Amino acid sequence: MIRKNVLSLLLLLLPGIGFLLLTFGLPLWWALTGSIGLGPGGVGFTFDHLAMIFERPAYWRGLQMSLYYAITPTVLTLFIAVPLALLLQQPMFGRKLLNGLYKIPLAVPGIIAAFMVLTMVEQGGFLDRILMHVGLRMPRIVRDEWGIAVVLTSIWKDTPFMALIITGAFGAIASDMVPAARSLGASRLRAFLAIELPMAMPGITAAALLCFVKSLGSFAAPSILGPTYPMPLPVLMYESYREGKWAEIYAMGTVLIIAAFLVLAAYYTLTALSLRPGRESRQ
Amino acid sequence: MGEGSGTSVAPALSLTAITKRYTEAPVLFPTSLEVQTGEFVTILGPSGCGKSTLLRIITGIIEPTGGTVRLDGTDVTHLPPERRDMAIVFQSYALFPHMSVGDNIRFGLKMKRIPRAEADRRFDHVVGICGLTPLLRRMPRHLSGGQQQRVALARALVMQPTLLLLDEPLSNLDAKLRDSLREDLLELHRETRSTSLYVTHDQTEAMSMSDRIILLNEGRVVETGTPRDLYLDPKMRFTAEFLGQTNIVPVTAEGRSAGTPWGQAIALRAPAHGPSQVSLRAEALRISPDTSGPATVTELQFLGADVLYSVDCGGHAFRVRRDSDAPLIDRGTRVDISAMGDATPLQDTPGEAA
Repeated sequence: MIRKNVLSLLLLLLPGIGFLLLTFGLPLWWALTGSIGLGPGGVGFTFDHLAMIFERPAYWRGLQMSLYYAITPTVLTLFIAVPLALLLQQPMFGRKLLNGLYKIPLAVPGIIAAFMVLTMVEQGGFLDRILMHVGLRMPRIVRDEWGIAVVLTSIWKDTPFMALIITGAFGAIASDMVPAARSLGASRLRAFLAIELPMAMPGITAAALLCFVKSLGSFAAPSILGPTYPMPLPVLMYESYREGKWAEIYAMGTVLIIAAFLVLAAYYTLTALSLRPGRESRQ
Repeated sequence: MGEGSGTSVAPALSLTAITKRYTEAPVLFPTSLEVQTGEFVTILGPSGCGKSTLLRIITGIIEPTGGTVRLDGTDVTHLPPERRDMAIVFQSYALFPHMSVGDNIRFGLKMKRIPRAEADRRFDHVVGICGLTPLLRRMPRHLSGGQQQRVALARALVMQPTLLLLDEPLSNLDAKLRDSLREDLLELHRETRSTSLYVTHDQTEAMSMSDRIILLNEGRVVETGTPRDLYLDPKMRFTAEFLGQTNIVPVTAEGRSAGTPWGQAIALRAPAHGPSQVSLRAEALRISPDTSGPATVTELQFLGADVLYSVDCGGHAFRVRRDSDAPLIDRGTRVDISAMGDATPLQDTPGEAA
């Protein structure tokens, strides 16, 4: 009887789990096995390709660059998106208009955003020509060593995305929470820091994670606006693809996936710890 | 309205001509009221009567359009909520979900920077009287509704505020729990002597708990008094109908006497002339079988302790309550009807009269 139940349960789960395994698990498996030299066209089990990423400067710096392009805009965007989300909660003149306008970058594809930033901030570009009238020049921020234009593009694209999620997180806080905190003696600022911010934190970290993973794989902005050396891993993957070096592609893909998973694992560990009951009570 | 208490000490709370309008129609007409130190006062009214707005003005969450809020004699009308010496128990409890029970209760002590020794003393006392010792490390989402309610109360009481505000604190609970928590609340009030302003739409809660009731309707104070006075001797028709069940009886008044539809002359507590109305409670009317009586029993409901009769008398429908150990009177029986005691001629509510 029990065995029959297990069988029917497995059958019932198959459409969902099977779909995931087929579309997500299988390619992931190929990437992982490919990166250690197994699978079709492989040279046999070896860690050489993975080791290469940490040994050859172009790849090692590429990994660092990928993490830089993912972390920097995510952190900077947080400082814009959280105040923006709070502003959008306030009853004020023109709120509906602002609420619609700020989402526009969401509708612009990444490559177009990259070209928009290019024509705006490049030396000889739009801003440069305006500044020239007052005797100033744009600093070099396209293809500079800090990849400033790349970071700017990510911020421009990520701000509405993050603000949308964070607005939802703040909006979900019951309307009595802040009055309750203030009636207990908390100023507006302390009510925000002690009540609203911790309560919105799951939404804020989720938004930051999604932006991090999105930027970790960004391709258009770094290849158009970024310095030619070092290139982030997604751009290097494309170059390897043009040269047909599949083992390297698998290796770089695997390293990127592991980097993303490490961040996710850290996130879940932290949230699980912070939700453990009784954590904040003192004796 | 609550004025002229005769004490030289300033009342714990005093509202003078508070008004509030949002766009066009006023939500609150000039409203004045006082709560004396140690008193348990209830603001009672149907939903939409302005009681929530009034509460928000008292706490400082919203500012009134006009008027003054005084706390212990000090004008606090324009002070933010955190600088008013009051604590609120919300209908939704508003416990902070990311803090344990203990941290919820300590939150206000920390915010107001109460010295450690004093804070610990108050904390232990409140946790003790609210029976929360075994729950201190729990998170709010792991508590039942009644437990959350007690935490919300403890969090407010620990502040030892000049004024404790309770915003429909029992309305999210089921009937049985509500009854037992009502008793707990009264006991806590007796123990702490906290000056309390209770807001509710539930007349049973209001009558059973309050020293005084302020009845509010359509943004105006209708009547103020002890539960007993308002129930037994209402001056306003709205009061008579809102508190319990009553019969609004049309009478013809002549000075201190009035003639009822069944021909009885009843004494009036205030003089009136011509067509008038009085409130006669179902338990203040008596019926007895009488084949030549002026009324007929149209319906009866057995309610346990008593029986509620519906009686028709010359086209008017009245309700009469009789003890259930008296013999039942069948439907269709002709009865004699009479009123016990005297009555006060009713006035229409200020809002409707205007």
